[in-house]
Formats: sequence, C-alpha cells, structure tokens
Amino acid sequence: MVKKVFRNNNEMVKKRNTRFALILGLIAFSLYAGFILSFMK
Amino acid sequence: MSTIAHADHDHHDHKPTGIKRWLFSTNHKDIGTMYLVFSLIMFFVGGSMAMIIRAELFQPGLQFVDPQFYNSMVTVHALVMIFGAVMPAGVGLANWMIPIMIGAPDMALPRMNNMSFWIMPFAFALLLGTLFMEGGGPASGWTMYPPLVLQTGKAFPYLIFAVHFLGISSIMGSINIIATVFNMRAPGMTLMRLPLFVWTWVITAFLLIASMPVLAGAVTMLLTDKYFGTSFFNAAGGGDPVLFQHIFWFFGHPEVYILALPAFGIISQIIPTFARKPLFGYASMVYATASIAILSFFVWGHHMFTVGLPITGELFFMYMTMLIAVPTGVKVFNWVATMWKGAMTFEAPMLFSIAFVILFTIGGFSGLMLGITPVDFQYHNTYFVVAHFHYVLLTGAVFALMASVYYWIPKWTGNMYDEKLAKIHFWLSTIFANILFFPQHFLGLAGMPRRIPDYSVQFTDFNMISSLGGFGYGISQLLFVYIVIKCVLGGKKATSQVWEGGRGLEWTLSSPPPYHSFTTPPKVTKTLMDY
Ligand SMILES: [Cu+2]
Repeated sequence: MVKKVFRNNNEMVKKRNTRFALILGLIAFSLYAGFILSFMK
Repeated sequence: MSTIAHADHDHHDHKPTGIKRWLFSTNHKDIGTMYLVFSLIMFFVGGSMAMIIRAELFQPGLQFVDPQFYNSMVTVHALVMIFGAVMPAGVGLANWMIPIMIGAPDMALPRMNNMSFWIMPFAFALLLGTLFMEGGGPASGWTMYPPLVLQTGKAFPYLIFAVHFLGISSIMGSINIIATVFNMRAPGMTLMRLPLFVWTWVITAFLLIASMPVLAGAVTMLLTDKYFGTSFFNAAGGGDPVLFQHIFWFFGHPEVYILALPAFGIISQIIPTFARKPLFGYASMVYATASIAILSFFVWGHHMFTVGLPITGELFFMYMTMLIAVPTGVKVFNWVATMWKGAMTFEAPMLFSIAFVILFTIGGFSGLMLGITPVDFQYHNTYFVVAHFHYVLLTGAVFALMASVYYWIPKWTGNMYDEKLAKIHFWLSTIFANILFFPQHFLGLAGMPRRIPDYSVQFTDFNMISSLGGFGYGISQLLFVYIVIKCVLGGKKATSQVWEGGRGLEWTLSSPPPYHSFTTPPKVTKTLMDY
C-alpha cells in the first residue's frame, strides 16, 4: 500500500523534485555569489 | 474517518526505532517533531537570556553583569529567538502539517529534510559555544554592524559560520517546501484550494530563498574584511560601512515577514475553525500575503532613516512602508469578518488567535509610527523600537505558535491537552506580556536608549514594572511545557476530527496520523472546506 503512490508516479515525481531542488539551489547560490561580486571593485 | 488511515499498514513497512529513528529520519512527522522540540529548547535558552537582561534593568546602575556580557546577552538573545526559536518552529509546523494538508505521503526531498534539521544543532553549538570563550560572545547586536562587529574577539568566525549554516539550513528547508507544494499535491488540490497555512509557507519559502543568500553574502564580506584584507565596509580602504546596513536590511525586513507570514497562516486556519465559518476573503488573503512579500523588498531604508539618506530616498522608503499597511489591513479585516456572526467558542487556540489579532495590530501601529521619517528621528534606537518589535514577534509570532501547538497537538499525539491549564497559560501569558512590553513604549518616548545596561533614574518605575512582567511571563511558560508533556504522556483520546469546526485533509487522518501520511492520494473536491 505504501509503495503504491510511489509506484504510480515514482520516477516522474522524483525527477521533478530533484529538478526543483537544483534550480532553486542554483538561484540561491547565484544570488549569494552575485551579491558579493557586484560589490567588488 | 478516512479509509486510507488504517494503522495496520504500518508494520508492512520498515519503521526504524531508537536513536536511528531520529538521527537518520526521513519522515516528515519525526523531523517536524525534532524541529519543534529544538525550537522549544531554544525558546528557553533565549528566554533565560531575556531574564538576565530584565534582571539587570530592574534598577539603575550595574547589578549583576558587566556591560560586555550584557551586550552579548542582547545579541545572542535575538539570534537565538529569531533563528533558533521562531524560524525552526515555523519549519517544524510546515514539516508536520504541509504533507498532511495537501494529501502527500511525505515531503518531496526527505533526505535533504534530515540534513536541514541536523545542521541546526551544530550551528547553535558554534554560536552558544562562543559565550564560554575568552573575550565572550558576540556583543555587537544581532544586526552585526561594522566597524563595531569587527572588534569581536575569538567569537567572530564562529558567529559568521553559525549564520552561514543557519542560512544553508533554511534555504534547504525552503526548497523542500516549494518542491512539496508544487509537485506532491493530491488530485483536486488546486493552488486556490490550498489551506492558507500552506500558501503563507510557500510565499515565505520564496522570501527565504531570495533573502538568505544576501545575509550570507553580507557576513562573508565581514569575514573577508576582518581576515583577508578586503575593504567592503572599511572607509579607509575605499569601502563604506553604511553599505553593510543597506545589505543587512535588504535581508532584514523580509526576515520580519519570514517570521510573521507563517503566523498569519496559522491564524487563518484557526479562526474559521472556532468561528465555524469559512475564511472570509480567501483569495484576497492569498494576494495580500503575496503583496506583503513583494513590498518587503522595497522598505529596508526605514531602518536607516537616521544615517543620512537622500531626502528622496527617505520619502520613498516612508511611502513604501505605509503601503504595507494596506495588505496587512486586508488581513486583519478578513480575520474579523470571519468571526463576524460566527458560532464562536473560545478554546485555547482561539484565545491565542484573538489575542494575536489585537496585539499584533498594536505592534503594526507602532510600526507605522516608526515608519514616518521625521518621527523616527526621535524614536530611533529607543525602547519604543524594542516595544514595537516585541509586540510583533512575541504577542504576534510566538502567540500564533502557541495557538498552533494547542490547535494541532491533539492531531500529533492523539491526546487532548488540558484545556483548563491551557486557558490559565493563555491569560498569564497575555497579561504578563503586556505588563512586560507596554511600558517600554513610554520609556522609548521619554528617550531611554536600547542596548544599554544602565539608565537614568527617571526611567526606574517603568523598568521595574517591565521586569516584573518579564519574570511573570518567563515563569508562566513553564506551565506550557507542563501542559505539552502531560498531553504527550496521555489524556482524553482525540478523535480524527478533533475540533467540531475543523475542515481540511488533516482532519480526515487518524490522530496521530499513520507513519506514512497519505498512502493513496485522497480526492479533493471544492466542498472540502465547506460548513
Ligand atoms: Cu523593516
């Protein structure tokens, strides 16, 4: 029963979750790096 | 009761026990519990620092602590309460409730969830450890303004890395929440059917992702300024110390809403339940929350009116700040309209929620006063500011958290809490919190500066009253711990519905919910929230 939800959309949802994490993580990191770089002279 | 909630599915599936259950947990409910317990511990750590502050301020002159230690108490109290108590409590509630409210089996990224929790105890070990170091803890105020913060001794790098770790932890938590809400909703749970608590958390998560990297950037620059010869904030090297204030408050104001928006969400869940009416103006609540979040990035200058901004800048930030009152007013109006002609009962969650609406609004009004540029010239850095943000954060955010614990603890534990004791806890908290913070308005208007361990004699009376309120508030919170422990250990069994007026998926699951919340996705129809 537990496995059922995961079996139904396991791969698709997992892939989308990972993609979300990568994109949002990248946004956060580029904000961080961009912010520091923009104040360098 | 829903057919999906059979507990007998549990033993088909590997459920770790003992220390491993917590250390390696990927279960949203267990991680949520750990966040909440951690937050409660930090609430008492930060609270005991507040007791030291109030003891020192009971009388003029220096009584108990030396000024350096007093300043580090002020600094660490703020950092612990903001990053250790209120934020983790919000994340803990999100972990527990979001999957249950949207019909998901768990959070989207369970291993990342584990990491974002376990980073926090390490970060706070770094931060609190500095108090026992030679030279003491950071004492520059939680705002860490240079050049003062650069005089911090051995504690400095620990402070910076603690802030970095906390930032990483909350960014990971936010990513998890966004992925969960966007990818894991049950069929029929459209965005405009999401419970308000879920909406406010999604918006908060975006705020965190946009603002935390900025704070991390600012403290990285402090670190390189101190140890690597850069001059971001050093005027002698061509930098600008005021730049730090701009960057810090670009993070700092959204941070205020990171603490407040989940509280708004909690109140928007509780008031309809105990008024037995649907939330008034659901769509306007969502748009108001989003507007507050967007506006919060354009008001940072109201913390800096006295540093000498150009007059156009001061006017811009003043008007933008006034503008935030509009969506906030919409929210308060909707809460009151939800109660209007409702069949209300006054259990502890509802009492805390009503107190929230009134007292948070008082904090909002004093915020409007501070947002008026010429007026702020008088109030800036006085106890008026301290009174303002404690109304917003204590009788605001913390009261909402207390309300949420009483509201959801029957769901979490399967037991009802002791209503009589909870009502006593409510009245003690409300009365003492007002004795504690209301006189601080008068102190501020009379000119008493903040972050000072000593004061002139004319401020004595109000400080004594405030300290007595503080001790009373602190002691009454022990009652809260007692009520929580008593509820965890036993009590009247809770039904899955718990509250007569409860609507939403969380009330269709058993109390406590099964180990994997929704094993088959529920079907959501638009009548889910109807009365
Ligand atoms: Cu602000």
